[in-house]
Amino acid sequence: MSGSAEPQVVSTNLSFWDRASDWVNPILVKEIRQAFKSRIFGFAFVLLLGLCWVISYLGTVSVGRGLEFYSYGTIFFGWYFLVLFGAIFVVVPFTLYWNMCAERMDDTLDTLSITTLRARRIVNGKLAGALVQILFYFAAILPFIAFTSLLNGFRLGVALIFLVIVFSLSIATSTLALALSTLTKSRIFQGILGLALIAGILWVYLMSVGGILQSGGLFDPPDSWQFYWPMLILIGALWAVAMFLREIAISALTFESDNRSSGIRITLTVLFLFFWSSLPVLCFFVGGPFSARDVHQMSVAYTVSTAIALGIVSLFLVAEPVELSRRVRRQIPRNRMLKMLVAPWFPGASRGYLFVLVHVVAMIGILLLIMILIGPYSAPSSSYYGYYGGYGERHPVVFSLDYLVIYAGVACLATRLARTQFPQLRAAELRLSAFIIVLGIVLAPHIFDVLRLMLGKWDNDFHFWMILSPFFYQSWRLGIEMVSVLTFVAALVVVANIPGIARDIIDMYRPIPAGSPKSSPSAEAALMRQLEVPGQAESRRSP
Amino acid sequence: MNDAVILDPSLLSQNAAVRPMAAGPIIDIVEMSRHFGLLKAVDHVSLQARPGQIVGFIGPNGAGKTTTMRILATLDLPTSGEAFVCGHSVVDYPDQVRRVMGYMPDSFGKYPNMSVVEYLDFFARAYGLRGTARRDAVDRVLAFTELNGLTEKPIKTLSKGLSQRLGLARTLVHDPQVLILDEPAAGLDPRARIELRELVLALARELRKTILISSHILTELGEVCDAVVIIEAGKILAGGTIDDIQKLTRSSRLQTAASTLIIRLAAHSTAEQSNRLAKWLLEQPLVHQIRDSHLCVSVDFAGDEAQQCALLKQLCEAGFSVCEFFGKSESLEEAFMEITKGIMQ
Repeated sequence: MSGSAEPQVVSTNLSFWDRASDWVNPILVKEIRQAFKSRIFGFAFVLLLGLCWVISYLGTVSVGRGLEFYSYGTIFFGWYFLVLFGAIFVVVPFTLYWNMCAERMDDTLDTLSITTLRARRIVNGKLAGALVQILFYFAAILPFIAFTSLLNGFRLGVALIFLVIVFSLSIATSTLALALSTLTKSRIFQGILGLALIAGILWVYLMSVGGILQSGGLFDPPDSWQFYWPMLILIGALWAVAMFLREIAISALTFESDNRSSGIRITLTVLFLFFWSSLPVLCFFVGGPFSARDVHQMSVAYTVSTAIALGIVSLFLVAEPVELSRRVRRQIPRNRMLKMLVAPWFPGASRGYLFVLVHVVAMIGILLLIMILIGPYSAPSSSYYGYYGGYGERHPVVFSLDYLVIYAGVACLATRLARTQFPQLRAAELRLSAFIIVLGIVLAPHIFDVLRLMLGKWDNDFHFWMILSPFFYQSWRLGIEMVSVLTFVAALVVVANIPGIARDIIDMYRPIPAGSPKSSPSAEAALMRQLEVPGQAESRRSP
Repeated sequence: MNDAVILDPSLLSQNAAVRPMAAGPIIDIVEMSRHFGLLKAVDHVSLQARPGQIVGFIGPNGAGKTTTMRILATLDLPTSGEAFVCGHSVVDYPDQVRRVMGYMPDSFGKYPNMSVVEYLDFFARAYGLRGTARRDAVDRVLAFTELNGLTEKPIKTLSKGLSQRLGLARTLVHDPQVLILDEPAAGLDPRARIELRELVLALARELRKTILISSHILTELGEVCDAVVIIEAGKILAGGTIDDIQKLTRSSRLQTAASTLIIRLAAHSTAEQSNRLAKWLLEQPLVHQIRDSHLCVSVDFAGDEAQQCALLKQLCEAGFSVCEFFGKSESLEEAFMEITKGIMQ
């Protein structure tokens, strides 16, 4: 060490980029610096460029003058698309996964956690880093796409749709990878999850490659709503999944005593409102690009998929601790009315169930609004299961909502009971138990059904145990009887949960427990106090 | 320590002199407990530290030191009790605590492919420093920890000692008032340990930083700490200045056994004279035990000061060439061994 150190070691005038980067998430700055130094990024980037050059060269040479006369635009685009897809769908998510695993294993995440960066900024920074890498790959492939646009058969709108889909898919997969990487600190589980992730990604990629190569007309679809509308829904769904998974990752990185739940709940509500608000809007286009049947089909699909999604999430929400920590209590609004209104979005088991009920009520409200706007839909007698018609013979919508209310409610009651009976159970154990038990109840009748089939005792009749699972068509055939039983049971479950919900709402009004009063004796006095601790006079050494 | 070492604390904090210091304790732990299931990792611990004080936190492995430090660093929560850093509750206001506290864990994460300056720059950004403030902060900690010649060196190439200095630089980058250092000297060579000790002393003495430091190298703690707290099995067994701890163990020893006297004969004395001294001492009524080592004899003596004077007088009268006669003071290590029981949790 030398004392002649000059304070001005690194400082020179701050460059424009230095100043600009002050306003950027620090994690993003770090990620970009690290990415540019990483071999994987460099290798993948060079490989992408090389493959594109090879495709361009071999394609042009093999086609020759045919380029001028035939529609090779879509074919060239397809090949470039596959190369880009590989880079941003396989490489980026997988490197992000291991990057975050390394942060957890090497304890750098702890070091980050004690800075002023919060879990949300860390996750956002990581995702932004992935986004920048994706954009780099896009920038690399752009000249080749520009070349393709000069060829016959190239359709800019279709190309843009496919590029946006692959971009959205890559973001969603990266977010999934990030969420998975935050779930465990164990090296073994990280390894298993990493293998599962790469296997899944490669499987999807290879299936997509096969599909694209086999279907010659994929990049030359009909120019109609029949093509664009599902694509837009797919893009929306991918971003919804990405937003939800991002919240999962943030929640996993947040300290247990902080609010891990509200972010997930608010995101779910935002996504719910985004998708469900589109249904009444579509009603105004009935007679135009959409028929009433289209809107009804979509409402059924929305209900079933929302019920499944909410059902899975609710199993985790209702297993949350009942008590709010002091840190969370500080986030409760002071206004008495507002406290009650925001209760479903605060952590807690029964508040989680209330959250589910609020969304069920909202769904029923929107479905009724649709019926008012375009009238009830009467399914033709030959239609397959999947439509609901007035209060006719088929009711998948009511089924879905009933099952959601029943299973979430029962799980809520069970976890509350388990907390009182087994206080040593940790939150994660309780959550996992609730999930496995409910999954077991739903799957058990199907396993029994398979056993019946294997033993040759299968029949096509309805049996009462089938009511445990929402997926038996024998139950659906019962129609109004089944709906009545399920709705009655759902009502009972809601009533049984009312005391818990009331307790959780009242809990929102409890004052924040104050910390212990700060004592003021001097440090020395306090330390000297410790000298009076008994037991210290005993010596281990013999005189 | 090399003569050339000149620590210049002004490099680190230009505003330290004008920063209003709280009159009360900077670290205040009140009846804090942390349980992991049935294990009481920390059990009703209370301690306080004032501005500029270096408090040593010592205890065997698994005593609860790191758990206590992690709670102070807002990385964990107490099961009961409270902890305040600069008046902010670590439970209720972790963000405020993080702004005024720097924590250096025993093994802290590094990004191996980053350079030293990139690493510090990143953490300066993470603490919300912008523009020239960020650059100045990085420059200052680089200069203070004397890493300024290694700014572009990749972290993976740094030695253990330099890595620890980098860790300290990272801990200091946002100019915290409180430093929590968990085993900062672990694995360092003697030179690096001495350099680190000088840095810690400079931080407390010149910049009035409050430092809570844990270490297994008790002699080092004895040299830098104003006060020490001995913890075992989650409970604080003793606390106070090092003198207080030594007095405590000495007084407990007086109740049960003897204090230790060191008697050294002059260099020209022979081995025969040394043997004669040992024999003579064992004949004295207040001498319990002796340990003879060439011309030096260590005596467990159960007498007070007056009786020690009398013993010295008798030694001289008996014709022994005594050139040294002193009561051996208790070292921190001995006090530690005496206070702790080696309980494993």
